[in-house]
Amino acid sequence: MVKVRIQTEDFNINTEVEKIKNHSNTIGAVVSFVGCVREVCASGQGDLTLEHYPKMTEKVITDIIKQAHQKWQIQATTVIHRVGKLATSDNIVLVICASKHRQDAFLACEFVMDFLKTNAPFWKKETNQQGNHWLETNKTDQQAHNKWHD
Amino acid sequence: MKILYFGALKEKNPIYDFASELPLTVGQLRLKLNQQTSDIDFLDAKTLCAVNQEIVKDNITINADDEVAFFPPMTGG
Repeated sequence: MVKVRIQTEDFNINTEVEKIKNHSNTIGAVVSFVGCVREVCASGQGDLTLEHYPKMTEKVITDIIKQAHQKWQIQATTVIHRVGKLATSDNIVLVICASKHRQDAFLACEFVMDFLKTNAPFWKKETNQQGNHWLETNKTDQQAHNKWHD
Repeated sequence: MKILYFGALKEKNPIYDFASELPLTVGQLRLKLNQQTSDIDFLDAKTLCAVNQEIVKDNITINADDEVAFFPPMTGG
């Protein structure tokens, strides 16, 4: 099972975990990752806006999930990624991978998340008292993605 | 041809409707757009191009019904 949602509204982690567990009674391991908004600025006044390329986003995320399902024994994956205006501590992204045994679920979850950081068409803009600032890709994220393809 | 832009590029007064003979390559389109906007760095070396929602290199040819988008490196997750 592959579930990909791009949405403005928040997600409920427990609900999504229960849904994925219900996919099959051979699932013995469910690994989930939640990305959330770090402090945008020290004063606490600021927000993060996420933009995306509709349709391409869903397509590339579905493709990377299918790659993960081929590399490891994954029975179900859910990715929910929010867009729009978010505040500090808000949820941004949820990745859940379910498998029979835990090692595959851990690896697949990290693989998908590393891809999302640099190869899914989203762009982040911080807004604070100093104005707007588009975030740039960082080397750590790029290296994390590259390690799966070396 | 209609061109999509995302991220910081949208704030650079990009050209959304561009008249050009087709076919042409992505690289040729980049040059023409930079010339038209009088900003040689409008689409710089880091700017990515997607044709029909797939990232492509500069040697790829664009045809009449293709969807073309330019955007900065991605920052999702």
